[in-house]
Amino acid sequence: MICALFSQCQTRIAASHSQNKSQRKLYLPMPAKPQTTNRQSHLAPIPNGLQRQLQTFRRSLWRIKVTEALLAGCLGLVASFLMVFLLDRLFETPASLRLIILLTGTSLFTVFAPYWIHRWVYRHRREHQLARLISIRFPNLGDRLLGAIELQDQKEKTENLSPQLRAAAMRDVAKEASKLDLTAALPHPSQRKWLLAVVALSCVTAALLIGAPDAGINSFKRWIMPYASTERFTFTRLDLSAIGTPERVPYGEAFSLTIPLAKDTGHKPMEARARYGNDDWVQAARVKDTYTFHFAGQRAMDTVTVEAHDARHELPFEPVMRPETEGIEARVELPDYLQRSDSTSDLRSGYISLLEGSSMSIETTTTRKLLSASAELVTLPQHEQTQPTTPSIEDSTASEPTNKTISKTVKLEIEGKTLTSEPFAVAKQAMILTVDWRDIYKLSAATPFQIRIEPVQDQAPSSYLNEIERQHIMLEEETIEFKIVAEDDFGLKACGISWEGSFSKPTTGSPASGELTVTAGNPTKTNITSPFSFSPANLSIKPQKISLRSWTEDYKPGRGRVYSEPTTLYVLSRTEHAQVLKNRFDSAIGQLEDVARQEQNLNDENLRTERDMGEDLQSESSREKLKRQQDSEAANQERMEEISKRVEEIFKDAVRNGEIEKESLKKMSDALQSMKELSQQDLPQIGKKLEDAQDRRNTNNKSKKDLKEAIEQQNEAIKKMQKAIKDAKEANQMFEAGTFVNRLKKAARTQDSIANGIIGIIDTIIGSSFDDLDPVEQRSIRKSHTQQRENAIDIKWIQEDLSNYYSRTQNPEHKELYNIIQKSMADAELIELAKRISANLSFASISQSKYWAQEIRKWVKHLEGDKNNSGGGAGGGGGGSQEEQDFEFMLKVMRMIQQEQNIRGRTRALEDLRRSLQKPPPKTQS
Amino acid sequence: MKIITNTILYIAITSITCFASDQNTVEKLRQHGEKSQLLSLEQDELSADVQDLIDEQTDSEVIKMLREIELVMADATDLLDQKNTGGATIATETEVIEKIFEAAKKKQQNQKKDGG
Repeated sequence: MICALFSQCQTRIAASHSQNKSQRKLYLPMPAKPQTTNRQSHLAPIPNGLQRQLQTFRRSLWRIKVTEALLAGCLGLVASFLMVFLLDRLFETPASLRLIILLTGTSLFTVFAPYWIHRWVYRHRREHQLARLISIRFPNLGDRLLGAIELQDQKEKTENLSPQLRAAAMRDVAKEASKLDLTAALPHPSQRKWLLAVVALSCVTAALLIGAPDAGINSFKRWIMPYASTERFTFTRLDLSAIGTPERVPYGEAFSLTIPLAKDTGHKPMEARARYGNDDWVQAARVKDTYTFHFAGQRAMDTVTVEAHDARHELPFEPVMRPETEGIEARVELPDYLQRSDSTSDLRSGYISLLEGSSMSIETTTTRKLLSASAELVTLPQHEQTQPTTPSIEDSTASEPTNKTISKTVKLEIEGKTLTSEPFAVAKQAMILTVDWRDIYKLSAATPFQIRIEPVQDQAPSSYLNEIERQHIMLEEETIEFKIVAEDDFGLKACGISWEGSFSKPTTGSPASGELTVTAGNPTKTNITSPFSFSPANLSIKPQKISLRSWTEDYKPGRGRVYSEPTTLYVLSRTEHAQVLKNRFDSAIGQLEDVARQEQNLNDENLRTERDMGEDLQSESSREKLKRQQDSEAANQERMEEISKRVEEIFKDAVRNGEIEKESLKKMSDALQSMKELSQQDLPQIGKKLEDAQDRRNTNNKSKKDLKEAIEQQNEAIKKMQKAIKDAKEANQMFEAGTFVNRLKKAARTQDSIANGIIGIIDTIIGSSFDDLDPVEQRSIRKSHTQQRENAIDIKWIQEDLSNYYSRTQNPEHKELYNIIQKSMADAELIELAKRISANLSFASISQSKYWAQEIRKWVKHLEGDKNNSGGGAGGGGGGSQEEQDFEFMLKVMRMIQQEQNIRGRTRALEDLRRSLQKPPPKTQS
Repeated sequence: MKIITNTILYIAITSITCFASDQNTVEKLRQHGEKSQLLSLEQDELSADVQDLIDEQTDSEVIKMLREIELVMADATDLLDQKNTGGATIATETEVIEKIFEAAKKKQQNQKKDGG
């Protein structure tokens, strides 16, 4: 019976179990109820023994699984830390990987542990859940136990339910369970393994932390804060503080990378290696705790990987062009005395010459912003002006020349790309300024920039007269135009002219002397070209020899004026000028006579040729001879042409001289015309005929005819030459005679002028002594006295010239006049007259002066008679042929032009004078 | 005391120098005026020569040109008499020279015509 009931109970328990399976979900969401309440709420609780067994089982299950969860979490953390530690030892673990490792590690705690606890604790909190778990290990007991647990709350009708039977079943299950160790049903308790793993890993971790605490701490930081900027710890530590990010290296140039070991490095490997991008590895041995890698030139940006033991760094490198100069210029401050503002000079050539005493500074603009710069100024020794030697480190400002190499550091100021030096003085020796700089990338220029500073001295200015001959003959009233040129290296203060006269013959008064400032300069004017018109008449310069110089002055204190080479001006009176012309004309006539003689010789030779070779002119020897004759004729023609030009010049000069008589000029003109015809027509025609005579195509008769014509033309030319010589000689004689006449006429006029001058003031001076006279009259008397003395000297010279002239020409009229003048003792008498004038013997002076004027005019008439005689009736006063009238007109017109040109020249000279007065030179700075 | 003496001395020397310089300039300007007027007289004399030349001429065209020259010369004379030596005077003198050339050419041309 009991057995039947038990089997019925079991059947029900089994049915209940199967029902529970279908209703399992209903239990799951049910909150866990305390066992006490659970126990109390059961209608028929399971026996206490079983109850305790189950509770024990559950506690064990919970403890094991919770422990497993915790250990798994710890294991994850420790393992992930260890992984980061180990990876960091191998390479720079990326932050992302470290994050993944961290998340994975912590996920055991945050995901797995809760899941594990939920699974084994929460879902195994009820008895039937435990019974089901036990059934896995003890299937029979499990089912029965599950049935017993369900029987606790069985509700059936009394007739269907037997509490005794239920209790017996429960007791039976409890009894069976008591025989078993339910802990054996615990599912694979692995907390020991977990613990072992945790302990093992912890030990490893502890060992690592103890053995390499820095590495451990570093890895911990990097593990716990993967994205924090915690640098990876390496045992070998390199000091990369000096390497930029990116590091710039010279473009395309081999470069070295020196990396020192950090002071706190834990390991010092003997070697390190590096490579640029994917290039080959470059090895570097440790030398004094540094590694120096040498790389080939690079052109592209890339990464340099450096490995030393466990240290591994990837450094970005960028090849860039070196910083070069965009512009460099010197700011020059010249010495104060030059009064010039500061200037700038381009220094790209690396050379500058500067005035001693100047100071300069440099300003450089580079292609990149600068970080640092240095400059060293080396003053070269005086004997060595080439390249600087190794300078001695000695700071000195050498102002005096020295034989030592002196070095000085020049301070520099950096502002962005601009580099400015402090001003430094230019020494008396060559200097070399070496400027070096480093840009913000710590790159320096390929080579330091060197500037050679060559000191120069303030050269003396120079001046010269341009467009004027070294010697020039001019009339008193003429004006000579030239240019005053002055040059200086820095600035001209002024330029002008000065003149010093000297008399070539005894005369009264003092030689001319003076100067004019023509152009005022300024501190920046280095070149002056100033046209100037020099007019002796305007400057009250009497006929004399003038030494004319230009002068100039610069700003250098104490230098004074610098003068040009002198130009000699022979300022002549018309009489002297005529004499000069006569001498030139004499020379020209002599040359003309030579040409005529040569032509005659050629003519003779041609005649001989005609006579001796007339029948064989086509022979080679005849042709050669004719050729020689032709060449000689051509040479003679050239000489004639030259003489024509000379005579033409003389003629022009003669026209300028108003005292030369028109008859002389007419004769000269005739001679000149003949000479021109000879040189341009006659002589070339003779040459042409001689050439024709040599023509090989000619018959002998034709050649003979040509030669004959040449001889005939030559005869005509010789005649023309002789006429020209005759005309020229006559002109020359009339020239000289006319010169005496004019000089005497001038002397007579002077005597009249003296007399008239005294007459003009006689009312106020008569009867008074010179000392009692008013200064105005005194000055007038002194002027007359001077005139009288000069006139006396002129007469004396005329007398001497007449004597010489007679010696040469043996013309009796001149001898007669010479005797007359000598007999009159004019020179002494006129000197005596001068004394009377100065003594204010006015009446006697007037009468004597008038007397001598008349006397001199008689002498003129004496000579004029001679001139008319020798002129061959050319004059005649008025009338004359049409040709002569035309010549006279043209002569007057030419002289008029000459006079007007003289007036214009003197006007210009006066204007120059006026302008020079308006531009006073600046004061010399002392 | 010494400074005051030196200052007075400096002022005195400077004043004398300036005065001498001014005197020199005044003297040269006076000379300029005198020479200009002298040139005016010479120009006037040359004008008289032109008058003489006119009297000798028979060619009406040449006479007309010479009269023009005489007038221009009169202008130059006036300018020089007014101590004007500037560009205007020089231009007038240049005109005189050019006109004399023209007169000479005209004379030559007319001679050739008469001869032809």
